[in-house]
Amino acid sequence: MKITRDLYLSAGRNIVREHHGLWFFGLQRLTGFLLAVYLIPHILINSSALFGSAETYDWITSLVQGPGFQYIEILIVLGVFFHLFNGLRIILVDFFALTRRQGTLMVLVSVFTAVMFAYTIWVYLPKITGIH
Amino acid sequence: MQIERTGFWPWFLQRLTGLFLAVGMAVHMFILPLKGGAVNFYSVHGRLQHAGWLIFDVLLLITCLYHGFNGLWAIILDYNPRLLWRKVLGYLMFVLGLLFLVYGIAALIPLVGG
Repeated sequence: MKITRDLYLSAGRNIVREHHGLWFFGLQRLTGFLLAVYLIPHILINSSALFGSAETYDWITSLVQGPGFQYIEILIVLGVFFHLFNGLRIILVDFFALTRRQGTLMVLVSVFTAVMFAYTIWVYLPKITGIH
Repeated sequence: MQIERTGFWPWFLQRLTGLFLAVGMAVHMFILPLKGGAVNFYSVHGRLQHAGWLIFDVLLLITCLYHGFNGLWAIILDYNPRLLWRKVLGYLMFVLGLLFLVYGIAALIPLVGG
């Protein structure tokens, strides 16, 4: 698998040479901010049983699982997995002095995120197309 | 997040909670949105009957709130606010985090009890 190895090593070098790391920083910040803000309505929605009964909870949660919301959910899951994989890269670079391997790690972050995004789309296909 | 701006502990705890969340959020994703089914009172109530899942949810709530509000505070510091604003917004993040922690745990009570 020398070709595959050379391909992602050169892609990694290219990421560093072209300063694409700025995109990873910006996206980590954007997803982090959006997920922190999302946490607030997420807690509020899941607290709806405090203001009534199981029926209140079911009514509110069915509203946010209605048509259209599946696209927001896919974006949230995508944001979570990018932030997760890129966060692990930051921890690796910080604690194991891997600054010189950053490009390779960024390729891995992109690949893992893309795989999880594809898997998410696959799981959500019935909710997107309406065919179960 | 820069250690020079935040000091050691907020920087270190962001990484520690991050490591826990890397596992915890992956699990949270696979058992909820990526399971494909619908979430309702019955399904959540059923899962929370196991003490392990309840502890997991509380730990996820604590680490998520810390990681989120500590992260927001670090973003604020990057804009070099005056010392007064730095303090006011820092305490605001702390108080908001605590409020949501208490509120989030309270929200679990009817979901566990049924």
